[in-house]
Amino acid sequence: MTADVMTTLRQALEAGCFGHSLPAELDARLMNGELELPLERLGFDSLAWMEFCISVELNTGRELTPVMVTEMALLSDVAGWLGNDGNRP
Amino acid sequence: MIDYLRLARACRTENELNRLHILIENRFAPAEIAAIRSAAREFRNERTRRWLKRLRGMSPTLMKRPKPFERSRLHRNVIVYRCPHHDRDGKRALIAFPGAARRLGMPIAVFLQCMESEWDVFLVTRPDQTRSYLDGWNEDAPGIHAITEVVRSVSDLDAYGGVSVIGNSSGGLPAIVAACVIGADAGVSVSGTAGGTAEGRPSKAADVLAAITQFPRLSFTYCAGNEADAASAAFMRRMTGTGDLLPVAACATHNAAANLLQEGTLPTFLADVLGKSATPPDRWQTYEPGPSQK
Repeated sequence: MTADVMTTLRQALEAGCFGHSLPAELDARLMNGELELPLERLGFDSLAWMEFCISVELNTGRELTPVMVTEMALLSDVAGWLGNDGNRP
Repeated sequence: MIDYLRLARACRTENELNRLHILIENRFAPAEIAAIRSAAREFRNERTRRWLKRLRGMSPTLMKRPKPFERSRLHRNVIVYRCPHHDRDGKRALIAFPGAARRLGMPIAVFLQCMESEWDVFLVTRPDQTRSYLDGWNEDAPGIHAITEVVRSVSDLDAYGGVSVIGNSSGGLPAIVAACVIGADAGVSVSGTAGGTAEGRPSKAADVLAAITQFPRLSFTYCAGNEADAASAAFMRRMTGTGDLLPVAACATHNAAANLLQEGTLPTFLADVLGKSATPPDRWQTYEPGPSQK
């Protein structure tokens, strides 16, 4: 996982937390590159996922939509999408 | 009034349109939303249609009978919503502290649909993301006292027949503290968190509360199934030494207001907890939602 992907992911997660610091457990996972985390465990509601996707688009210029996220299961899936060409979920 | 159609047409992606909708939801009064709906009839955009449908789902009266609250900015960080045709006599002021999502658990227009026109609602906007309301907006306005002084000065609070304060999520504890500082009739925390994770914020609140000799009627409501919010409510109750814990049964989200809205009881709940009566009706002490909530 590249540093750029991790930075984008962290910023998007912070946006999903509405600017709050990430919960300690999630922060530790990101630090250790442990991304096999089910997305539902993030506790994001629909508004939080919108903010998450807006952050990704602002930082990468690539369009990840909330509907696309619903087709992903793990945080590592999002990281994989970020690390690839963005054309597949 | 913004030109919604021009802005919406300029959005190249779904995220850009969502961003526009979030901004509108966080600021626009009911009549402004209804006007967008009228204007959007000619705009055959599926995403706009779905958005308006979702808003209508939250508040069935929003589009057809929008409450006549008008929005105006009084200060860089204070927006007021008021019904201009309501007699000034008997008017009441509600000071609102949104949470980190910059809303009171729902679009402001939906919230206002639940309020009677006697209320003027002063929306206090959040400091930047690194600060709590308890830190103040910035170095020039440090602490909750600076915020309450600004609100008092721009709102002419003393002219009102009553003042109440409400806060949602990370606005919960600041609302309770502000209610005490202002000498409000009531202070309400909805799914309030006890200061987030930043060091020192609960102690900042405790320092302010230590100087309070007469407390308003305080209420701490939260989803009963959300352990963190229940703990925060109990923490705030201990900190103030007074107030009612009002768990909403059969829900576990961090948005008790949305649960009350969905149940159709938010208007009654707000009237009860923001009112002047000495204690809220017993029904909120053991609130049990109806079948649709379970």
